[in-house]
Amino acid sequence: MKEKLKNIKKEKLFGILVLLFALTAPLFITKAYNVHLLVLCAIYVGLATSMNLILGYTGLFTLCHAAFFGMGAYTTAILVGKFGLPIWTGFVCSGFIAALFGLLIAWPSLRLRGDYLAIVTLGFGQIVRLIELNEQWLTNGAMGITAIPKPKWFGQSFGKVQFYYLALVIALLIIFIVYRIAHTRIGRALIAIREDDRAAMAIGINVRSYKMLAFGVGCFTAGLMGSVYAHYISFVAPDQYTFQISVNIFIMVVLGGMGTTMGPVIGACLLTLLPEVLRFIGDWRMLIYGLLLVVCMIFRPQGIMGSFQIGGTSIWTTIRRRIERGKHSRKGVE
Amino acid sequence: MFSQQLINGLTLGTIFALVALGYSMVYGVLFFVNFAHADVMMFGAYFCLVFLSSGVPVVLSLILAMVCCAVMGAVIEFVAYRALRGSSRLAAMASALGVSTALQIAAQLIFGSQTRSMRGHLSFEVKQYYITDNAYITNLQMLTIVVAVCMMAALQFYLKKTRSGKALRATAQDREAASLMGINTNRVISQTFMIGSALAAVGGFLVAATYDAVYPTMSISVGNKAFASAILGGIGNIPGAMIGGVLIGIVESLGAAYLSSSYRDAIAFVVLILVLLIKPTGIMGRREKK
Repeated sequence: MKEKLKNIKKEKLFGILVLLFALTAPLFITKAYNVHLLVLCAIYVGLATSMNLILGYTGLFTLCHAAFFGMGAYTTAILVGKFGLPIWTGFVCSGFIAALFGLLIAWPSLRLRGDYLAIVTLGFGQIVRLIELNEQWLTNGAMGITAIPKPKWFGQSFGKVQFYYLALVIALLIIFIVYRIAHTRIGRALIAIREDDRAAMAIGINVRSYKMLAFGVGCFTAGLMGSVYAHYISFVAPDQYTFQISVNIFIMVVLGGMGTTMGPVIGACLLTLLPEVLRFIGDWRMLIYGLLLVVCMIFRPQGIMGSFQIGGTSIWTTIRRRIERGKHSRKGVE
Repeated sequence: MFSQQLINGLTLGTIFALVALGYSMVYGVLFFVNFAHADVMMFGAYFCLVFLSSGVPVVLSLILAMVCCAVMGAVIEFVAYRALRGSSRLAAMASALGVSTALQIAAQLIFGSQTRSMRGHLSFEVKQYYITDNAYITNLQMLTIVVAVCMMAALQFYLKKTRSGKALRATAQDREAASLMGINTNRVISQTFMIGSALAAVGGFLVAATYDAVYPTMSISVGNKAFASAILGGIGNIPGAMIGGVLIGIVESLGAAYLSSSYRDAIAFVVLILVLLIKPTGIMGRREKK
C-alpha cells in the first residue's frame, strides 16, 4: 500500500513536471521545425491517450485509430474547407462523425474477442481509406482537399505556436476526460471488463454498453484531434491516415504503458521524436527505430510507465495469469 | 469471365493460404500475431530474385530462399520474441511491429526501393492455355497451384505423421504439459517459425511471379490479406487457414471483376467482417473455451 501511494505520488509529480515543460516549451524551442515537432507531439499525445481508453483500460485491441483521426480531419476539411462553415461547427462535427462511425463499427464487432476484433478494425481502416481514395465527389480522391482555413486569433491566422497551444489544450482535455473516466465507477467497470469480461458480466456490468462507451469516447476524441490536425496542415489526403499510423499509435500506448495516464504521453513523445533524433544516421534511422522498439519491449514489456499502476495487482501479472490459466483449455493447431 | 476470375482467384487464394499458414501456426503455438511474417515473405521474394539473377536454376533458388527465410524466422523468434514469452501478448506484438518496420527498411537499404521484375528471371515463358472458349489458365498459375498444394500437403503430412509434427501439435495444445512429456518446446517453437517462414518464402516467390513485381512494401497488402485469411478460417487452425486463403482470393477476384476494381482491397475485408458477424471464431474455429 505504501509502495502504491509512493508510486501515485511519483506519477503526479512527474505529470506536473511534464505539464510545466509542455506549457513553457515554446519559450525556449523557437526553431520553426522544432515547434512543428511539438505540435505533432501534442497531437499524438491526444491520439495515444484516446487509444489508451480503448486499448489500455478496456482491453479492446483495435487497429483503426488513424481511420477515426482521418474521419475527423475529413469532416473538418469538407465542412469548413469545402462548404465554408464556421470552424467550431467543423470541430464539433468532426468528433461526432468519428464517434458515429466508431459506434457503427463497434456495435456489431464488439462481440468478437481479441485478435478477431483487431482484424475487423484493420479491415475497417482499409475500407475507410479506400472510400477516402475513391469517392471523388466527397473527398477529392487522392488529390485530397486543400486550403482548409486556419483559425483566427484577434484577426490574425494561427501560427505554429498558437497551434501548439491549441493542440495542447485539446490533448489536455482528452487526458482529463480519459483520466476522469478511468478513475471513477465507469473506469473500474472498464478495467473489470479488461481483466475478465465474463466475470464483469456476472457482477452486473453491462459489458456491451461500457465497451461501446469506451469506443465511442475514444473515437470522438480522435475525431477532435483530426480536426485540429486538418486545420494545422491545412490539407487532407488519404495517405495521411494509413494503417501505419494506427500501428504507431498502438505502439505508443504499449511502449508507454497501457492503462496508465502518463504512459501514452511518454510513448507518443518518444515515438514522434525518436525518428528526428535518429536523423543523423540518415537512411538507417527507421531500421534503428524498429530495432530500438524491439529492445525497449524486451527490457520493459510492461511499458515504460508500466510500474505506475492504478489499483491492485499490475495488469501484467493478471494478464500473464490469465494466459497461463487459459492455455490449458485453449485449442491449438489441429 | 466468371470462370476466368475463379481461376485467378484460386491462384491468388492458394498463395494467401500459404502465407496465412505461417500466421496461423505461430498463433496456434504462441497466441500472438507475428506481424513480421509478411516481411519475411517479402524477403523470400528478394532472396529468390537474387539467386535467380545470379544464374541459379528456379527450383534450387526457391529451396535456397526457403532455407534463408527459415533461418531468418528462427533468428527473429530468438531475438525478438523469446524474451517476451512470459509477458503480455501485446508486448510481443509491439515487438513484432518493430521487427516488421526494421525488415522493410532493411529491404529498402539492401535491395533499393524500386519495383523489380521477377518473370524475366524465370527460365520459362508464361503461356496461356484455353480451357473453355473464354477462360484460360497460364502455366504460371498451374505452377502456383501445384506448388502451393504440394507445400500444404507436405505440411499436413509433417504435422500428422512425423514425430516432430506430433511434438508441434502437442506444444500447441498445451506448452507446459508438452514440456513435461519431454518435448523441447523451445526447439519446437523455433521449428514452427522456420516452417512458417519457409512457406512464406514460397508464398513470396509466387506473389512476385504472379504480379511480376518485387518491392519492399509488397508485404503490406499481401500480409494483411493473409492475416485476414488466417482469421477467416479460424486462427490457429491449419485447414481453416487454407480454406480462408482460397476464399479470400476468390472473393477478391470476383469482387474486383463484378463490383468495383477500385475497392479491390476492401472487398475481402467486407466479406471477412460479414463472416465474423455470423461466426465470431471464423469458419473452422471452434467456440473458445474458457
